[in-house]
Amino acid sequence: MKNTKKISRTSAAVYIILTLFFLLAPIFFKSRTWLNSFVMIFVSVVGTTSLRTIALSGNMSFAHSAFIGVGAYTAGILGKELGLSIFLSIPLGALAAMLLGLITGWPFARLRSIYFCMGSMFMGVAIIQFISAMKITGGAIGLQKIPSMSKALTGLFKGEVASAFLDKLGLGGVQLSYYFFLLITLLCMVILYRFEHSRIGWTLRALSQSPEVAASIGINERFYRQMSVGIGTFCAGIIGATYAHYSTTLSPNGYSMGNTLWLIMYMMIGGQGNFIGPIIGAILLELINQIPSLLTAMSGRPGVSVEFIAFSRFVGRYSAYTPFLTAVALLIVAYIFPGGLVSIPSLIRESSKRRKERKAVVLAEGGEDDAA
Amino acid sequence: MLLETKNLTKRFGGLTVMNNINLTLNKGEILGLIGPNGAGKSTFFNLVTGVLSPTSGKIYYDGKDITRLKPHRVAALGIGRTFQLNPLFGEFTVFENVVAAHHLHPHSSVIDVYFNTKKYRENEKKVVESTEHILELLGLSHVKDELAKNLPHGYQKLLGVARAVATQPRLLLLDEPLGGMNPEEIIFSIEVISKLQDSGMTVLIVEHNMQILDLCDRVFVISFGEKIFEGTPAEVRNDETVIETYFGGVAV
Amino acid sequence: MFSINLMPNILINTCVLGVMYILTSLGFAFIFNMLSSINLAHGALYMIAAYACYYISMLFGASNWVAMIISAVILAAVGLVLERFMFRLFFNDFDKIIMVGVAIMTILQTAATIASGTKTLVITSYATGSTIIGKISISNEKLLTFGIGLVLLLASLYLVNRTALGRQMQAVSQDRLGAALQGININKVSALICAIGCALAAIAGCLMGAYQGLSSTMGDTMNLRILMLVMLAGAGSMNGILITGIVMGFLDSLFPVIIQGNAASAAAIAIVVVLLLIKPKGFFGHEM
Repeated sequence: MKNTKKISRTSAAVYIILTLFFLLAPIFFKSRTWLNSFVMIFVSVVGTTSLRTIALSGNMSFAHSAFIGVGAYTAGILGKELGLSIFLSIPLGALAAMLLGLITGWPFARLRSIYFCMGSMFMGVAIIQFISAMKITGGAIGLQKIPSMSKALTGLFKGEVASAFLDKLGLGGVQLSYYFFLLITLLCMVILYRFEHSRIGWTLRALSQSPEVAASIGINERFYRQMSVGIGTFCAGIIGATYAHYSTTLSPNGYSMGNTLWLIMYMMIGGQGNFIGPIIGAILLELINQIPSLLTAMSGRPGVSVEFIAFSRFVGRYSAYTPFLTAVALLIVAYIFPGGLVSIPSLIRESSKRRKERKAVVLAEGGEDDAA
Repeated sequence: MLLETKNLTKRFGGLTVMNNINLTLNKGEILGLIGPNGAGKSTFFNLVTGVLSPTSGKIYYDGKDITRLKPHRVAALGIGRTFQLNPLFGEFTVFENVVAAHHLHPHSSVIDVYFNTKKYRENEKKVVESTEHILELLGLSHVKDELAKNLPHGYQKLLGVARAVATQPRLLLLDEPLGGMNPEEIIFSIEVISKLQDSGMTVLIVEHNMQILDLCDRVFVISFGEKIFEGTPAEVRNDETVIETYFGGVAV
Repeated sequence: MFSINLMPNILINTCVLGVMYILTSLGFAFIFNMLSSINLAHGALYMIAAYACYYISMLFGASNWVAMIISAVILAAVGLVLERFMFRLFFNDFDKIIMVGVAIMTILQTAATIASGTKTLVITSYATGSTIIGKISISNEKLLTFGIGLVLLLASLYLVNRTALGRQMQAVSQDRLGAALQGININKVSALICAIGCALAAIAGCLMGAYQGLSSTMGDTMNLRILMLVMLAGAGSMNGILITGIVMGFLDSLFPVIIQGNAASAAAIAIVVVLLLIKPKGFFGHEM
């Protein structure tokens, strides 16, 4: 209990730096491509962190992308067909994802983790198949013409004074959408952080270590597992729904199991052991994935050197190979340092400590020799 | 009468591991459940705590039918237990193991926990106090910051008891609490168990070690799922059937 | 639309698909039952075997029979490596099993995507022409696929039920510790079943690569079928897989005929979803 309440100074600093960076980003990165990449990072960060919340109880969900998709499609359809405002359609999308998560999670909540793994894998594929088979979702082609959030957000600032204020700050629809996205992301992070660092997260961790002992001290296994699934899919749904209104087009391919595999890789490479690991993993690896499109956008600008254009073409040509790198990184994590990226500092600290100790021992022995 | 089973029977496929067991347990007593390996003692525990459900028969706890309740419901009614193979929350410290076991008492709702309300913070203070007290009682205070998986075996067994005690049970089921302990630890554990009885708990012990007999008010002997004897420890020592089946014909 | 004349065709397709599904699932089920573990990459291995077969016959000009055998041997070796460095090394460490599984799956998937690009690759047919039985004409391709599949399936069943290795497998899957105490070399048995399972998946992949063509999604499609078969059958049940395999084969042959487009596979999945929500542990397995 002591451990979970204490927040280390380094991770607090990382949280603050990251928040400040993304708050100030629109000032330094004016182009839409950069902001789009940051938004993709937000989706990955929330997806990965909420996936980890489900994994806390020892169950790995392979359907997580599908739940992001359920949130996205629900919000998209509600906004497009019923004309709901984004402030209604986004929460409803999140609730839909949560409801579906709870229903499909119910039969597997008391089974061994291997069943949960297989069941979620199957449910994830099934959900995407249903989405591609339906007419209202636009089938395999996808959903188009979802009401854009930038219009809804600029609509909030009516009147001359307000719009003049926005102009003065240099906030267009794109920037407003970006900030709205950031707000939702931070909201999810706070919800998930509180969940894990309260006693609930602690109970879940107990549950993952020994379900039979947990039951013997009165922990209701199904209730707690379902709670983690509920919170996890809710956050997945809300970020998906926000994304639907940001990008205005959706395609079922964006939520297939391959995308869940990416989330799992982000989580495990970053480090599954604590809250900050998946965040670091998602930001770094998603940024790597975004590099080709960022380079292409940058080389389109006037006054770019020929070498840069050649370089960006080169990167673009080999971008299909990046999954290899990620997968190899995952293998390295699995076989060499299971704590992931965030465990590297403590590993270095430990090894240098050990080296110092060894040196001290050698010195001490040497000293004795001298004395002799 | 705190616990009563009526014609409790359990079959796995064609194999009957528990046949028509009628066991009663009075408030405040210590009952020893003994029998050779494979007699069905652990099965009995699993039936009472809801891990397994019986093929037929009924289990009453404090007059209530608890026959097919889920394990966590049984725990909530005030039945604490330990396990023979003694699984622990190995990645938690000893202190955290016992804190975790305060899941039921004092009760904080999920809302209280999530929003860190005043009620929850007060409860947590009580939990810490109670944990310190239990660790003191079981002689684990000096190892409270060790990871549970790093403890020596005897301490792990005691931690199992501490965890069960932390659920504030009225009935405590101990599955081989002395298994694998050294003589000093055995003497200490027996002391602890009698202290628990003095504090008002009813205890049901499954044990191989015959030193436990001195502690028991009554002894219930089963063999291959059948009751073969019930009586005081002194009677058990002199009963020929028991000596025959259990001690292999050699009087203790 | 559906008419009774289509029935023979549907039944033939049922046999072909059913046998292929069962054959691929066996390796997955071996690992599930015996090692209580999961091979996430099984579908991807099935896919990569088909690609290997294609490229071996393309690059070295080997006949595709030879290519199929080489690909099966390679996959058997992969199975051995997986057993040693994944299932044995990380026994009971489920997180690591998932990590390695996800990594292998991603590598194979990416390789296949890059290899096929925009082209559609097809393994040249193992047999051409068709045979007329009664009033129905069946392509030799289907007959051959079904025949090879059936022979391998019967051989596997013989292996599981009648041989010493099969008895050891059953012993290990029922009680691992007990089997080890009886002197069964668990590592040897699991290495063998991993190799056999992967080789069977490889042959199924090579046959299906000629029957349906190669695509980077064929692994995912098969993975889904494997999951359905194994989950519906339940843990520890080989006979269950035979039944669910045929049922899935039938659904996958029937629905494309009576339902149009994407809804066909969605309909088959919907049935399985309902069944799994009712009995998440499957229908033929033992209690675990």
